Amino acid sequence: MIARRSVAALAPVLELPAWSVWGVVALSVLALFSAVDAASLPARMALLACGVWLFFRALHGHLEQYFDRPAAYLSTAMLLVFLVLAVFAPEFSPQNPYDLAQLSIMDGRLPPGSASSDGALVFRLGTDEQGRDIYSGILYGLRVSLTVSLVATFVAMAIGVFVGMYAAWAGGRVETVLMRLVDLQLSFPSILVALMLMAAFGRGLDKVVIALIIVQWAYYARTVRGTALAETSKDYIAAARCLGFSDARILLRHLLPNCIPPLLVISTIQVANTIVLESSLSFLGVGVPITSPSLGLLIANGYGYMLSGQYWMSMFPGVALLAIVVAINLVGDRLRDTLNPRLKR
Amino acid sequence: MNVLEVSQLQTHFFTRQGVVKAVDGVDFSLAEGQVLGLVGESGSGKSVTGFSILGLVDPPGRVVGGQIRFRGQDLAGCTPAQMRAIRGDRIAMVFQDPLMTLNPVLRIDTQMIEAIQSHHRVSRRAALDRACDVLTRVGISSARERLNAYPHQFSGGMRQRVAIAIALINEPDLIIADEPTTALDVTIQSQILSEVQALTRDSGTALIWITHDLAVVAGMADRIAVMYAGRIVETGPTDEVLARPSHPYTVGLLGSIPGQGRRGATLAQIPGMAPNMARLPAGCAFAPRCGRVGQGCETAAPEARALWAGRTVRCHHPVASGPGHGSVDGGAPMQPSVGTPVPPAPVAQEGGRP
Repeated sequence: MIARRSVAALAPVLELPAWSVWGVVALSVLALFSAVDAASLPARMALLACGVWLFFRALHGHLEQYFDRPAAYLSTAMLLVFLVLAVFAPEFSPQNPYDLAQLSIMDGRLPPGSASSDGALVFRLGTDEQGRDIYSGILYGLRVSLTVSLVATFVAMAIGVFVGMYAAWAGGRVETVLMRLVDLQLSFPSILVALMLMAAFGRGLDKVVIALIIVQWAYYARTVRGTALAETSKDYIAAARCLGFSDARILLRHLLPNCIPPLLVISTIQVANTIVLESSLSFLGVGVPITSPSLGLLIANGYGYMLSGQYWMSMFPGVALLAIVVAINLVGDRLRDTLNPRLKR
Repeated sequence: MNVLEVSQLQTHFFTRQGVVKAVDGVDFSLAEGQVLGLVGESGSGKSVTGFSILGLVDPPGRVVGGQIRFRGQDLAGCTPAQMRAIRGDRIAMVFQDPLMTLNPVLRIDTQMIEAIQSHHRVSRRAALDRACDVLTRVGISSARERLNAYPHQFSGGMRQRVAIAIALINEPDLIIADEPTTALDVTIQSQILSEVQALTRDSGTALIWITHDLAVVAGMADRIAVMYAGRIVETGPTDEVLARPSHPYTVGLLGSIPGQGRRGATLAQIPGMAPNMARLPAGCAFAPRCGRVGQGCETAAPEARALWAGRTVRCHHPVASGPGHGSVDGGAPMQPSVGTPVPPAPVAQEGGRP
């Protein structure tokens, strides 16, 4: 009850005008891009605050319904913990795994809980063959994984929304061409397309992001087109036309906001899919560069030692990957149950 | 001067099944402050007439002929930008389903201010005052607080009031109301009817009230136009049309309304179904359902002819209009007898449905 009441007290903060949402979105994108390298602490704090605020803003008016299930508390808390760990990785990790000066080859392949050779720190989750702390590696890897997938999802969503809405609005031949393009894109397995693209581009953070965008925009385009078609036939769009609004105004101010709820849901689940996809690419050796390893690359690094009983190098990054994907999927499920009007009781 | 003059309006839909003549030669005119009730069953072209006036007929539909003169200006010759300036400012529209006409994600004040500011350069504060003013006029109490609400926080009747307020907000010369009270229950319906009537009378706004419910227009319209299969089959002053209908279709419509004097009796109904608009019969579109089919009905479509001033009918064999007048089959225009009191309309007032 107390939790519900305190949640309800947030309402006035959430009722800020629409431009502030876009402001926050723009800010978070900027912050995300700056988070690829070590951004300043205030910038990262702003990023996290923006993320949390956006989440509550999206759920505005449905908060009680969202937190109706214990699973919602659990998964949201889990996701928040992962986000905090990822965003503040430099502050939380006992060691910077990419600073060669901090590493000692003497600490290589230590099991969980052993102390470093100079006794300065305890490797809670063990070390890899270079003597890097697995726990620190996971935090930094989480960061890379989340950044790559969030940026890719966001840009893919923007492209997809634009294409889908334009197709629905223009209709006729334009719609046919665009939607057949979407069909073509979706008829290939995404991992295959991503692999081919990465083989052509070569390794690199930016290239992974680009490949993931190309693989994903079509999902959004198809969803948005469907929603936009349904919304366009509703009377409030006709009413807006009767009020003499321009097409651009109707599209952006009246149609777009009404297409957002289903998008929120698929984009949440798509973030989890993107993390898995990026990890798979990295595991296969075509993803992120060795200098900025993601969870998938960490798993691949330790893979060779699995059979010799040194499980920790692969297993802990794997568990982290599993946990964050599950958390995101659960949050996405809850969002879908809450925001999808068709499931309303 | 007439606010709106529609002559020989033709709106056709070019579908795969053929050309659907949704509106086929509609004429009417509307003076300042006048209320026209456009009556007809579903698919008779009432709403398409409304959308044609606003220039909002979507493909595959197109206005193919006729003239729409709004305050002397031919709307067909307007550029899209000019049309946009007229829509919402000089001509407003109210829709049938109040649950759908307001954008669910925008607050009422946002929507109302947007409606003003897209046509007039006024400050936000002035627009807000105006919105508050109009909301009060349509009967919403504590308008200032209600402005902050989202549409889902209103009931259906309240939402329709808001929709009407948005239509009124720029003081248009003409409001086209497309069955605005159909989705509401009868008590709310009668409240809204009387309020709209008062509002249009005060501001001199002309009103086209599209409906399939004769009881609704009986109480408020100055004139009635009955549409069937894209044509106006009968038009005239409300009292006269209701008291002495001369088109068999109008007679059928009036006969199918339950009245208090006919409790227990079987309701009269018009046999058959509304025609397929893509395959209309060669002659009169109503002929297959008409009990008075006679010579020429199935070969030639009847032309509109004046019974007397302000009263036209599109029928080869109109019903004798009123006691002692005999048949008008001869086609001679008749004058309404001055001495005879017009009998009360044989329909219940609004809210009179059992």
